[in-house]
Amino acid sequence: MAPVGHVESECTLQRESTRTERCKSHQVPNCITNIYHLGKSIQDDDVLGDLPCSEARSHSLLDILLLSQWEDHALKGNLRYDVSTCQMKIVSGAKKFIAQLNENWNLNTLMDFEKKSFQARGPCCFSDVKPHREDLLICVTFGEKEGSELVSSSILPKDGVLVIANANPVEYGHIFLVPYDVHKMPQLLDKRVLGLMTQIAAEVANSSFHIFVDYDGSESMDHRGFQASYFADPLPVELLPSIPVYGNLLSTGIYIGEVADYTLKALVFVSKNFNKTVQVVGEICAYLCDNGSAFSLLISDCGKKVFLFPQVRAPFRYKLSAWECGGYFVYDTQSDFNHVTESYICSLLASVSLDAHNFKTLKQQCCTAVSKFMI
Amino acid sequence: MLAVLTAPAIGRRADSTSLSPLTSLTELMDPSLRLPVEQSLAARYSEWVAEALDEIQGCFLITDPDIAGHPIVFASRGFLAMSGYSLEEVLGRNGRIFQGAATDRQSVMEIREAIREERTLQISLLNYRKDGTPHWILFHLFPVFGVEDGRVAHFVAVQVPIPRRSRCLRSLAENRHEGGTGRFLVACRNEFRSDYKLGCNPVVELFVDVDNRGKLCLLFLAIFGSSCFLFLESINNKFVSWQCYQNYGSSSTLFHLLLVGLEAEESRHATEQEKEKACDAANSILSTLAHYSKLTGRVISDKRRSEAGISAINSSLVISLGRIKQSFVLTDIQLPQMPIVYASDEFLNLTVSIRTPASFLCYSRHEVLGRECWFLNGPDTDADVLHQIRQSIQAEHSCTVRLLNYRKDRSSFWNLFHISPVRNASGKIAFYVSVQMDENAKSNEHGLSPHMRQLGVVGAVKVAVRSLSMCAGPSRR
Repeated sequence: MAPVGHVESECTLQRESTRTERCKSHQVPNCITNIYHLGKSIQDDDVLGDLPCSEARSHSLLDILLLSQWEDHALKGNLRYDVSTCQMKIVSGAKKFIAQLNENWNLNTLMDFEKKSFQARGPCCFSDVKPHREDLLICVTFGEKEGSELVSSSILPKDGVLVIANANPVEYGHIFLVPYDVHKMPQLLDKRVLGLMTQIAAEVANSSFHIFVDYDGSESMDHRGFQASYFADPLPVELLPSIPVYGNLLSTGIYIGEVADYTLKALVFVSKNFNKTVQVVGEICAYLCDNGSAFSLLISDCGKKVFLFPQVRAPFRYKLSAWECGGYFVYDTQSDFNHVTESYICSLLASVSLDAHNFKTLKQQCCTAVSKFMI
Repeated sequence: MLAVLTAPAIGRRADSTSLSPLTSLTELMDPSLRLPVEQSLAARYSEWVAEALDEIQGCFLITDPDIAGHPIVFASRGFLAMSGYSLEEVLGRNGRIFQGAATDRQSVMEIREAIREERTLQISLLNYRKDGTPHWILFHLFPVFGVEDGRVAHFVAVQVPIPRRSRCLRSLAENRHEGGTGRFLVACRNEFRSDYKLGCNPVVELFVDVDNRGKLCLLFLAIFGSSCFLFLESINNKFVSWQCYQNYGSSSTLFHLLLVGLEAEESRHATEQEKEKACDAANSILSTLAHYSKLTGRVISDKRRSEAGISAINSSLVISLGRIKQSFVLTDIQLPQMPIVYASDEFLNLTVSIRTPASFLCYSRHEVLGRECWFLNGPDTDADVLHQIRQSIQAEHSCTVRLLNYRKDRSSFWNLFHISPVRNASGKIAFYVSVQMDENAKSNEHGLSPHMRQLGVVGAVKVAVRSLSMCAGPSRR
């Protein structure tokens, strides 16, 4: 992890003591971290505000920071392979699904990472961070000031998000976003964490930057991290129209739609005020978690759009990750890559989709959730 | 008896101050863009083309994707009249300033995709005039390609207004649904028996329009005192939804807001005549541009030539690269002279003379594009360092060096130079990106070191070039 600027504080030694005392010290020894403090100003209600994520605006500081840290990490040879050498193509058909040939990637690498990270049962402790020290890029936390700022420090803040490079990337800039809190166990899909992730997406302000999370509905994996990556083109699901389920941006400020013409039944939540989206999506996620349902979330359009892909959970059924739900598929053999067809992908999406009845129940649940927040 | 108010009579624009214009119009175009914007058309079509374009009837805009921000470089008189803007307010701005809160984002995405893929698109769109009022248009976009290099020279956007057609359909609906309004009042009484005081007669306005799925429906607006009710009835006589807006202040504000809401929620479809009108205007503009492009020799056509001399950088890539506010160039190393195929504005500024800055003596984009990438080097540039760079290119690696470079006035400066291969969606190297930084100008901006900023540029370029819309580009290795 590269120091980005002038070192402001000294490294201190880790104290040898009991676990609780070690947890009180937030130092990761011999390690200078770049800490990005999110400004407060982004919280405001923005009704008639911003237009779709602008292409003319220059890259934000957080965007440049993530890109540069990733590139630096790659140049130092810390990634297993260069993902930009992987060929991509559009699968012929109306939906324009995207396929990638990546002989180095496999699903197991993701699961290994999670096993390494999330053994802790108690509040996050910095000894847990050690296995990832090599891949730790930056840390993001809520700041005290109006504007965002970047500082260098060896002391990590008591809560925030660790940004860790994925050494087996699916696309350029593939990172893990791991929320942590030294004082308590973070509930992964609670509104605070969702809010933080959406705020990060808004702060990066790059329409290529997408954040995802997968929840498989089982008790055992209660700490799944968020991931993010840069996709040069919009994911196929983002280009599809939607059928209104609730509201419209003008009068209610939040719009919920059902993605039209997609074999995996999915919902999209759109709002310019992402606090609203977070409230509603948080409620729905809680509802799905309580019911033990599996789902994936995709945060796109600089935090203004959230896609929810509810999935049928079955023990030996192939479960799709959020980018696959979005229409982006990675194949590790040349023949799979060559022979993929749109109809195959559609049937794969259909196989994990909720049936019409359950999806309707979910839509009703969404309307109920939203009406709680509409005065 | 019902008093039926027609929309203009209520003073539809009376409260237009409640919906303020969506752009800050005091802010005109970025001054550094002024010269490229003003010269954009003349450089390719000669100075006389503006006059010829002014003679074409219709509303249209011409934009230049090669200039940062993809700005408007021409607006027809018809367009300015329709939108209420003046020429100064529009030149140099991006077309999105005419979009607003209720513009369908899906349509905006489709436009973006069409620009990215450099193809023609015809779509209905809700735009906003200068005074903030929304209106529907048929938006017809097409690219104009340079014949020699195969790149998009300009995009043309023709706009044909799509008026409300409720008036002519109203009688149709009323004939088919006699007593529709009467039925509505009965329903009112049933719904609101005890909840609301319906002492006074309501003021009712009837709209007939088409909903999102193309179904005819009747929209009733009824104002009872300070409350207003909106009823929607589909053509098969079922009430599908209703919403109540209470205490919205003056009724004219309310009507204004509701009309905006109605406008925004629907989609509106163009007739065949309107589509033809758009195509005709497009053809006139295209033939004018083609004719005048022969005067400068930089001929255009509406079709891209399949073979292009220098590797084609498509306009969507140019737009993405325009967001990167740092000095960098893209080089095509497939060709022996390793020409520059893209240069950022900041690169051009890097070469500004320091001795006489007022003269702004620096290289222009046309002097740089196509030129071999070593042209900033000079007599005292270290040959070993150059060799190191060449070796990195051979090995397909990146490298960072410090070398002596020269500005246009031949004054020298130390350049912190980083070069890196960039691959496209095929996985093969498409370009090399080189990022320059004047050593004297370096500083830790916002806590980010110069080297990190350079790497940030490389990352942004790598993401942009990975786009699948680049698939037509070079992939010879």
